[in-house]
Amino acid sequence: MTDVYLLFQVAGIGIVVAMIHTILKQMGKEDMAHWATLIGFIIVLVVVIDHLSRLFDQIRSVFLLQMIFRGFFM
Amino acid sequence: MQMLQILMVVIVGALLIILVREKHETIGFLLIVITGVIVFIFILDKVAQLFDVVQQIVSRFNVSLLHLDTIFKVIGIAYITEFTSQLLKDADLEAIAIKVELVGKIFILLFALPIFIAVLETLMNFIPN
Repeated sequence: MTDVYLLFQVAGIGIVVAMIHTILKQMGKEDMAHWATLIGFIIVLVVVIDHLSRLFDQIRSVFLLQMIFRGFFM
Repeated sequence: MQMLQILMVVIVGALLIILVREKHETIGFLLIVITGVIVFIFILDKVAQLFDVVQQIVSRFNVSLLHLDTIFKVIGIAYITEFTSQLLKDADLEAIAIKVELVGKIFILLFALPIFIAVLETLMNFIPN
């Protein structure tokens, strides 16, 4: 069930970042808005890349793909 | 059942993607990636069980599947290449998706080469020179 919480978390961050962006823009702090959006995006990126690396590790172990990273394909 | 659970997760993910995509395109794409990863991790357990069964069959009935591990590797590469290229196609990056598929094919060819050579050698033995 933790997957659904992850989805909600990422979606929540996305919506919050978008709201912060619009609020800051209305307050007139345009550059701060861009910084906030960037930081929010980086947080989500870190979460996604963490899961991607976990997936690729699992794939590598399941499909016996150990040879790829030693540069020796045969 | 477990399958229904994963289908529900995917539907919820799809709704969230549509919601976030209006406000923030890039995070919407990251949500697509996360949903894909969740489904693939779920599928991977099942595939691992399948491979265990196949290996047991091979060892118990001493069926001499020569290149079983090569077959597993090729399936793995096809698996990841498909995941990545569909992801890129979803983000309207057709050109890069095609490149990814090309890379996948080349790696599969590299892995299948020994089998190809073995087949050629057996063929050559039949030809009386």
